[in-house]
Amino acid sequence: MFHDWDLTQEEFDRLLAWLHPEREEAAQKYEDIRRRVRKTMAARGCTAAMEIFDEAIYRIAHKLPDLLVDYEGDPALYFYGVANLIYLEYQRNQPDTEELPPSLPAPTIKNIEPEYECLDECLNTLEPKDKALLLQFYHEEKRAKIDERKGLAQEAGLTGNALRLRLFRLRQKLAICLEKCLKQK
Amino acid sequence: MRAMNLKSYLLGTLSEPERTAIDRGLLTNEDEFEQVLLAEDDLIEEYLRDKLSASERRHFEQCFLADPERQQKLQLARALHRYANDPSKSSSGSVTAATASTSDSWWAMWRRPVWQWAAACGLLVVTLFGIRAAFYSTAPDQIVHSSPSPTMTVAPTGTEDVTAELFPGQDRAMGTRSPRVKLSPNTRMVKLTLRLRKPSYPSYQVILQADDEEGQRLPGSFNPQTAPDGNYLTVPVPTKALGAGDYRVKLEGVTPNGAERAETYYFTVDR
Repeated sequence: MFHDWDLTQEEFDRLLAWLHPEREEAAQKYEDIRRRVRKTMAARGCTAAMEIFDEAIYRIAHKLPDLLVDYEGDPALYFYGVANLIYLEYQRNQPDTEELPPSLPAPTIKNIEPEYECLDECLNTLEPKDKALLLQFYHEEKRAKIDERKGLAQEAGLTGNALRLRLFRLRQKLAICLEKCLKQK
Repeated sequence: MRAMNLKSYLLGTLSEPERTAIDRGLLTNEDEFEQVLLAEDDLIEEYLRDKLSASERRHFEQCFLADPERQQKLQLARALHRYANDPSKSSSGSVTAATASTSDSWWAMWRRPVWQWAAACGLLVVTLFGIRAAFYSTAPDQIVHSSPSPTMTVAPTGTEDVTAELFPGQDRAMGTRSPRVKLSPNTRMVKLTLRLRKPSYPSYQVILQADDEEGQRLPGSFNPQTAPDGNYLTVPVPTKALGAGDYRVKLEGVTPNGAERAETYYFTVDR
């Protein structure tokens, strides 16, 4: 049911132009939509989220000249609508399967875990107080003593939600650094 | 979006209309998208800290991790747990500015061959001493139940079997070291004593899984035994099935409706 990716450059350019007149902005929006649609597919437990999104692009790009005349609204919702239909088709085409047994191994950690060395380097690029906050959050003993997140937030002079957000941003920063670092290794 | 709804959404257990509402929110609203991302982090923490029920855990592994971005988040969180609990990094978990800016870190030093040799020699001495001590202090086939510490107890028995006592939730990624089982060429069998944390099931099935490999289900089922300090399971594993490396043991409780995920244990085999 999935087509080979055979969009022409022209079709792809037209798709990007639909998302935003500036090419760079359009590319960013494309990535953003892809990420969000993938999450909606994951909420259905669908492991073919990437293939479904690619198929949605394929179909939308081919249909775009007609679409540009009729559709008004957020392109993200259009992508979502098409991805949803593809998901339903995909589901119908799946052979009857039993639910996976709970004993299946969880995804392997060992080979794909960020290298310890890179983590070391990247943590050192953070502000010392940020690094300390992050490590304190993950430190078992320390965290147990200070009553989980609430105590840690008080200690850092933050509300619970602000702490959540701060940690989230720090992890994001770290993830970007790690990706770069691992590419260089 | 309520936290509980988001959790169910991420685990793939929300009803269709509720799921669609969240879908639309995350697609079109920045704040709602961010709430979903934050909820992902919360859920990963619950998973790593073993706070999910058996059914939630299953949905987490089968549904939540369908998104590769979430797999990466999980890996990062695991790595941070390990790093933050690595005694060579910091004893208190908080890092001083001086430590943070040190480029020649303990980890870098650890990686130098001379330190690795020194550590290996040290480990060998400690292991030999430990085995010798255990040999003279433990009666054959006796299982040591005295302390629920993360270190395993090894007792070579008169029949050249090794007994290893494991406790649930000693996840390597949580920063604790895996209990180590040292096997000699003469060891015939490893008897795993798996301590049961919760009220136990009438019987269990056991899956042994080497890292990077699919698990193998051990034949038959195992009935829990009772000791003054709690229930446990004894699972004999022939040493020929164990190469050097990391292992996890998964228990499934047998119920009239099928098997339910119960506990997971980790250990490392040294040969």
